Parts: sequence; structure tokens; C-alpha cells
Amino acid sequence: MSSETYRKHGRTVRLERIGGDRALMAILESGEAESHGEVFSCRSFPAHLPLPEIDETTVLRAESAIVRLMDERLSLERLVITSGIAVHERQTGADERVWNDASFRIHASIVNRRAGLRMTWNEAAPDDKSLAELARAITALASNPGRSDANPARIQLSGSVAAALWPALLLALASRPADDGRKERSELTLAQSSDGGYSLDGNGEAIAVTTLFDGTHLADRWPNVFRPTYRRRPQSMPMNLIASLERHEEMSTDAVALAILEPPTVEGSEVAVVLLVVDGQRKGFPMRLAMTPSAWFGAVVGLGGVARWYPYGAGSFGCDTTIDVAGRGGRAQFV
Amino acid sequence: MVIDAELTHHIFAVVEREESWIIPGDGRGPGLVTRREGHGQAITRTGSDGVRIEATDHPPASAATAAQIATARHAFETGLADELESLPFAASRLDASSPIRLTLRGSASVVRRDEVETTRTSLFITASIRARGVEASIVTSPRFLLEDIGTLIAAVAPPCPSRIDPRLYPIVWRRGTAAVLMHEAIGHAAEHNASPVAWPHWLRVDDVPDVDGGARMGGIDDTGASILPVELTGGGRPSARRRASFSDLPIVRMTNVVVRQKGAPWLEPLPRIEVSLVGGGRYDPLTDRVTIGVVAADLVSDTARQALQPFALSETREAIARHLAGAGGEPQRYPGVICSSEGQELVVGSFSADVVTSPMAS
Repeated sequence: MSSETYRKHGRTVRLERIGGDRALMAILESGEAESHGEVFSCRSFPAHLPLPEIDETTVLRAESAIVRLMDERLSLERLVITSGIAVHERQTGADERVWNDASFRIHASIVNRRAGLRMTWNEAAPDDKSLAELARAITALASNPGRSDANPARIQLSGSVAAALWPALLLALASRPADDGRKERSELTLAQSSDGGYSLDGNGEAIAVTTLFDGTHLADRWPNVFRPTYRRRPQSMPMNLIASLERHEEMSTDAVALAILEPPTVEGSEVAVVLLVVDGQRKGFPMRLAMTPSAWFGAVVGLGGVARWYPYGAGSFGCDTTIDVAGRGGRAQFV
Repeated sequence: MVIDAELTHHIFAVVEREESWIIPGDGRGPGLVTRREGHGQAITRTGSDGVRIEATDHPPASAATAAQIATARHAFETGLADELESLPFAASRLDASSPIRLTLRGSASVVRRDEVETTRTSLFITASIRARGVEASIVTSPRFLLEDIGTLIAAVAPPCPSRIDPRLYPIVWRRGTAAVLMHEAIGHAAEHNASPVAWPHWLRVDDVPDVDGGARMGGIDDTGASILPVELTGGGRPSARRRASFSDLPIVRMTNVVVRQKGAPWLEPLPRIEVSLVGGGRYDPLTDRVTIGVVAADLVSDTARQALQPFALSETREAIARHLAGAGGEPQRYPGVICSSEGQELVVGSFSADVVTSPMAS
């Protein structure tokens, strides 16, 4: 019977704005989890390690930056900004290891009530570039997005949109039977990177630099585990996902997907997502795309720009990603 | 940590324990799979820079918070510990054809505000079963555990359920299930200050903080503020701020939804759908749309009663109001709604008269 003891000591500053409520929370917690065979148990841990204070001004600055970008035609439905540090201890048999990490996360939900649209934005390292991208998406969302006259054959996904898709597509593909209709090999591959938001996994192991999808086949298993809290069992997950493409085609399109309006969901054999897209006239419109995971991977014709890490799933990189909607069996719907 | 009495708004302390057991259903005893224990306290101050909450599960640094934790722990040990240890064995005596997962969540909390301290205990149980491709669950209390598990087992028992388009039939929401519909369509909408909808004059939906067989708030919410029943159909908003634990932001949430009728027309059209168990619900304040997942229902005709496959209904609040056709009887307890708004799971008591909706496609 295998057994494990894991402890986490953490300090967090979290800002929450939900509807009309706003609070700044300082949280200090230590917990211990044990697994003995099939039984998992956890509890508050009485002895705690000294942890440095967290500079709350970084959280407040991020809040101010996002609030400043807001348009009066929009509502900030939810804003959660978290800055945290943690010390982890894990013992299995004679193996003991201790590691530290720090994290910064922003989740924003912004709505245009008149248009009935909700945009979500997740970020781990806000900077001038990411805030400029958010500002562009806010402008598009505020301009009462409607139906577009354009019917773009190609769409460029922003880095954050692409990063949100990779883990959803990979997990959807993994949950399907082997004979799911995959016929052709895609030129897109997905691998884990040692760089990114997680340098170690939930067991304190290095993130394995390995291919999880080679264009045809999935890896037999996810080599690393994700453990965002001591209160849950660690779970095998793809971590720090990064996409590569064997051959790049010309990436010329005026249609750019700036943000996600409805997150990726599995609908039968397809993964569907609703995107906020702007065309050449800077007119915003919502676009629903639904394809099988294989068709999504096959639709990618270009990767460009610098890949950034985003907190989707257990971490995912995204860069400017061009997809050929018309030529690869993709099914786009204007909503 | 130094507590400034003038700035301290309230202190919330809690001791919690959650256990999940698997009851195999073949006569064997229950097996523990998960146990979570924890405690902590939150000190909330409201100042010129807004609301600040200091939350920790570390040993309290002040005599004030130490007292609250000690009180909560005593309340837990004297009020809940025995039941937590005996209930899984009581439930395992039931004859279930498939394994049942039983999760017991007990907590004792203390809220201190304006020198007034209120202690509450809570124990609720989630039971879920999966059979013939149907997953059903209930949320209940020790008092109703065996009765409600019986309901759960019956919900997944019928073989070969039929598939129909539920929007083509009138629906009679039996056994208190209309409370879930109203929880989403009226309760959550009120939490979000949604625009008014013309509900039938015979319908009355209240949020009631203390109900026998439901949530027991003791007249105080999780910030120590006094709370009262609110008529939601009269435009009221739930008065309680609740939190799932000490490290959560208290937000406006329902406590017990009670759906009554007075002088409503009563009809039992044929054929009709009769709903007896609901799997979940959702309200989206942006689209004003309610989605309800029905787990157990029958199609009733003048000659037969046929079990139906699980189905979902998704309608706007206005459409739901327009299709409310009648109601009858007194409110019945519905076994369970775990409401997970903003990721904070809270039990909301649910009680409803039988309610009839006309075909949504009409």
C-alpha cells in the first residue's frame, strides 16, 4: 500500500470584486494531506513556517489598471486577483523534498449587457502588452458586437485564446475512443515545457519535457500531476503546454479573435467555443466555432510572435495562431 | 495580529469536517475514501479603504479569536461528532443495487459582531448513485437520510426509460422540485437585482433564514448581521450574506427557498410529465436564462406511466413566468440544493408546493 504525506504552507493576498462587493483578503494557511492506499485525508496543520509578507500594492495596481480600461458601456461582473507564495513538503517512503513557488493570477469577467455577451480574461503576468490586448478586446466588446458581413476563411487567435484552447482540446481528445474519426495527421504538435508558470509539478518533480500529441497520437499518460490545493488529491494533467507547427503558411487575415466569450466545451464529438472577433474595420462580432479536436489541430496553419504562458488548465502557452476555418472542415457560426 | 476593537467589524470562526464514504450496495459495510478537517477564522474590518479580511487557519493570535475557535470546536464535538461516525453505517443497511457515495459535511461556526456572539452547527449529507447511465444525487440531513436515499435509489431504478421532447408537454413539478426552478428563476435573479418579471398572482416565493428541515441560520448571517424572511416575488432580495468557509468572501445568498401558492388553479393534464428529482440548475444573469437538469421524471398518460431519460430545460425567466399554469398543496421539502455561486458551495433549503407549467414550446 503506497502512502504519501504532503504539506503546504501558503500566504495569499486576494482581491475580489463580485457584483457590488469588493474586499481585499489576506489569507495564511497550512495544511497537511495524506494518502494511504485508497483513503485520502487532509487537515489544517498546526505548525506553520514563517512566510514573508506579500506586497498587496501589486494586486491593487493590477486592479487599478483593469478598472481604468473599463468602458462605461460594460460591467465588471467579476474580478479576482491573487498573489501568493507557498512552501511545499512531500514525503514518500525515504524520499523527502521541499520546494517553493509564487503565483499571480487575474480572472476578469466583463459583460456587455445590451449585447448579452460575457468576456473572460485570465492572465498570470500582466504587462503593457497584455493590458493593451485587454484594452483592444474591451473596445470591441463595448462597440455592441453584432453580426459581421465578413465570413473569414482564416482567423488569427490571440495568444490567450490559443492558450485556452490547447488543454481543452487535448483533454477532449484523450477522453474519446481511439476510433473517433481521426484520419489525417495534423502538423501541430503539443508538448510540455520546463519553462512557464510551473517549474515543478504537484509532487515536486520536474515538468517532463515531452511531446503529448505528435499530430496523430496522444501520449500514453500525462507524466506530471497538478495539485492546486492540499485539500484535493493531485491529478495527472498536461502542464505548461506549448504548440509547435512543422510548416508555416502565409498568415494573412484581417479577422482576429481577441478573447473568449464562452469557454471551450465538449458537445458530442466536437469542442465548441465562442470568440470575440474583430474584422478589418475593427468591428467586433461573436463567432462560434465547433470542430472535433482533430479538426481543430488540423486547422492550425500558422504560429507567430512570442509565446506567453497563461493560467489555463495546468498552464498553457499561447502565441498568435492562425486557423483555416473554411478549408479544414471547420464549422463557423455567427451568433 | 492586534485587533482594534473600533475597526473590527466582525469575526467569523469555523471548525469543519467532511467525510466521503462508499457504500458498496452488496451488503458490505461502508468504506471511508476521503476525510477533510479544518478550522480557521476571519476578521473583517471596514475602513476608508474598503473591506479588509484577514483569514487564517493558524492558531489564533489573540484571545478574542481563540475563544471563537474554542467555542466552535466544542459545538462541533458535542453536536456533530457522533452523527458523523454513525450515519454511514446506518445508511449501509439500505438495499441499494449500485454503490452509493455518501459525503457528510459538518461545521460549527461562531460569528461575533457588536459584542454579540452566535454559534451555529450544520450537518448535511450528499448521497449520489450511478446506475444505468443515470447519475442522481440528493442533499439531506440526518433526520431524512434514509427516506431520501430511498428516493434516490428509486430514481435510478426504472429500466429502459423513454426519450421525449420535454418542451412539448405540460410538467407537474412534484415532491418540492419546483423549489429548484424558483431558486434559479427568482432567487438567483433577486441576488443579481434582475429586472422584474410578472409572476402569477397566486405564486409566492420567500427566502426564509430558518426553516425546520432546512438551513438554520439562527436569525444571523455569516457577518453577524440580523436577517429576516424576504418575499422574493414581491421584489425583495435575500438578506443573508453567506460564505462557504473562513477564507471566502461573504456574499448575498439564499438560505431556504419556500414556494407557496394561494388560490392557484390546479390541473393535471394528460399526457403530462411528472418531475420527481432534479440534478442541477443554473441562472445566467447576462441572458436571464434558467437551465434545469431533470434526473427523474415520468410521462403520465391516461393508461400508463413511463419513466423518462434525464433531460434539460433552458428557458428565459419571462418564458417560465408565462408558462406557470397552476399549483396545488402545501410546500414539501425537496432533498437538496447545493448552490455553488462564485465557487462557494452552500446548502439552500428547498420547499415547494406542486407546480404545473404548460408546454414550453407553446
